[in-house]
Amino acid sequence: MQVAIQVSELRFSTEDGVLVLEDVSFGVPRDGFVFVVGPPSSGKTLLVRLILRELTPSGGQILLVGRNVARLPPRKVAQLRRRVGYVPQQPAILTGRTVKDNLVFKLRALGFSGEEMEEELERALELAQLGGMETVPAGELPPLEQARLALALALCPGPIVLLADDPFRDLSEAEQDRLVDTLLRVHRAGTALLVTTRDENIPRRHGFPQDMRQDSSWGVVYLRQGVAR
Amino acid sequence: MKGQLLFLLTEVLKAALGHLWRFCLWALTLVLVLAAGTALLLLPAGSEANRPVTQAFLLATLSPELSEQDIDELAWRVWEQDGVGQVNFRFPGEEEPTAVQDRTLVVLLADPALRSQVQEKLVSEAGILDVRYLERTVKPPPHLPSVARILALVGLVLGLALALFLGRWAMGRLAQSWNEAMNLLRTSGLPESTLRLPFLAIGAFVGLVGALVYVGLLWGALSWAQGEQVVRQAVPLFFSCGPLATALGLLVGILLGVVGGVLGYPPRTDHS
Repeated sequence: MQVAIQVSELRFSTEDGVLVLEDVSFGVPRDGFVFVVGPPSSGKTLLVRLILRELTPSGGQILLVGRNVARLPPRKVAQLRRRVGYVPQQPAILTGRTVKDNLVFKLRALGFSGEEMEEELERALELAQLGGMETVPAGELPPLEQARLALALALCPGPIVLLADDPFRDLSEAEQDRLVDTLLRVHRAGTALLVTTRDENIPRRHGFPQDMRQDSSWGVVYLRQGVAR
Repeated sequence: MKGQLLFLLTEVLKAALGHLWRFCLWALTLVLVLAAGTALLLLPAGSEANRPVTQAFLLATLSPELSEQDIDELAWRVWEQDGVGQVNFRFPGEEEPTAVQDRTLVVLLADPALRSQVQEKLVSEAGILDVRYLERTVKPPPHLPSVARILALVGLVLGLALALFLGRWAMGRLAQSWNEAMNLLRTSGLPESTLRLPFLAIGAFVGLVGALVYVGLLWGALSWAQGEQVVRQAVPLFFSCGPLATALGLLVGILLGVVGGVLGYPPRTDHS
C-alpha cells in the first residue's frame, strides 16, 4: 500500500519544554481519507504544521509522499509543497477579488499561465463545487462557499495529498455535511486527505470507522493532549 | 520563475500605488541623507578651513603705450609660464591684492619656488616697466565651513534615522494592505525568499528615485555654482566631485532603499 503521509512516534515539545505531542503514529494511504479529531489545544494544527515542515519535530519521523520532511533542504520542501494542498484554519482568501481571480492569483504566483492554468482552474472549481460562482467577490460568499473557495485554492495545482485544518469551524451541521460531501468528491478524484476537526460527530455521521485499521484507507485518529489513541 | 516574480512584483507595485505619498516621503528623506552626506564629505574640515594660506604675487607695472589687445596677449603669454597660477589686470586705484598707482598685471604664483624664473620672463617683456614681489597671508572665511559641517552631520544623522523609520513604516503599511495575498501565498508554500523579493525590489526602486532626485539637485547646484566665487573658495572640492558623487549617490540610495525593504518586510508570525 502506497503511503501519502506516515507519522511515526512523533514528539514535539515547545521551547519551554512543554510536551505537546508524544508518540503519535498513524498513516494516510495514497487513496486514504483520515480525520484527526481532538479538542482545542490538543495539537491538531501543530500536527499539520509539522507535516508541512513549518516546524521541526523534537522526535520521531514524518514521511510526506515518501520523503522525510525533516531532512529535506528548504528548496526541496518548496518543491514538495507544490504537491501538497493546504486549507488553513482561517481561510486564506482574497476577499476583494472574485472567486476566479483568487484562483488565477494563486496559479500565476506559482508560475502557471495559459491553457495549463485554465485547466487547473476549471478542475478546482468543479471539484470544490463552485461552478457558477466564478464572478462573485470572495468577501460576499456565504461561509460554506468561502470554505469551498479555500479548498479550491488548496487544489490549485492538483495535489497528491490535501491537508485541511478544521475547515468546519463556523459552519452549521448541514453545511458541515455538505463540505464533507465536497471533500469526499475530492477524495474520489484521487487525492489523499487528512482533515482535522474538534467535532467527533462529523466523521461518525459519514460512516468513518472509529479507529485507524491497518487494512483501511479510511479512519479517524484521536488526539487527546497530544497522544493518539 | 521569471514570469512568477514579474507577476508578484506587478501585484505588489499595484498595492504600493495606494501608498504613493508614503514612498515619496521616504524617497525625499533619502535625498536629504545623500545631500547631507555629500556636504559632510566635501566641506573642508575645521582645521583645514582655518589654516592661514600664504599667497605670493608678482606685480608688473605696464607701459602706458600698451593697447588693450597688447595687454590681453601679454597676459596670456605670462599665464602660460610654469609656476603661474592666475593673471589679472588692475586699473590704477584698485586695491586687490594691494593698492596700485598704474595699470598693473597681478600674477599669482602657483609655485613660489619658480618666482625668479617668472620674474625674469616678466622683466624681459617689452611692455613691462617694473616688477615687484608681494607676499600676503590670508585666511579663508573662518566660521561658515565649521557651522556647515555641523549642520551636515545633524542632517545626515537625522535623515538616516528618518529614512530608516519611514522605509520600515511605508513597507510595513504596504505589507499590511497586501496581508491577505501574503497569507494565501504563504499557505501555498511559496518560500519566504520569493515573497520577499518584490518588497526588496520596491525598496530599491524608491532608493533609485531618491538617488536620481539627489543627482539632479547635485548637477543643478554644480551648474549654478560655476559662477560663484564664494563657493569656489569655500568648497573647492565641490567642482570635481560630480561623477563620483553621482555613482556613490546611486549606489547608497539603492542600498538604503533595500535596507528599508528588509526592515519593513513583516516576519512570519506563528498561527495556532
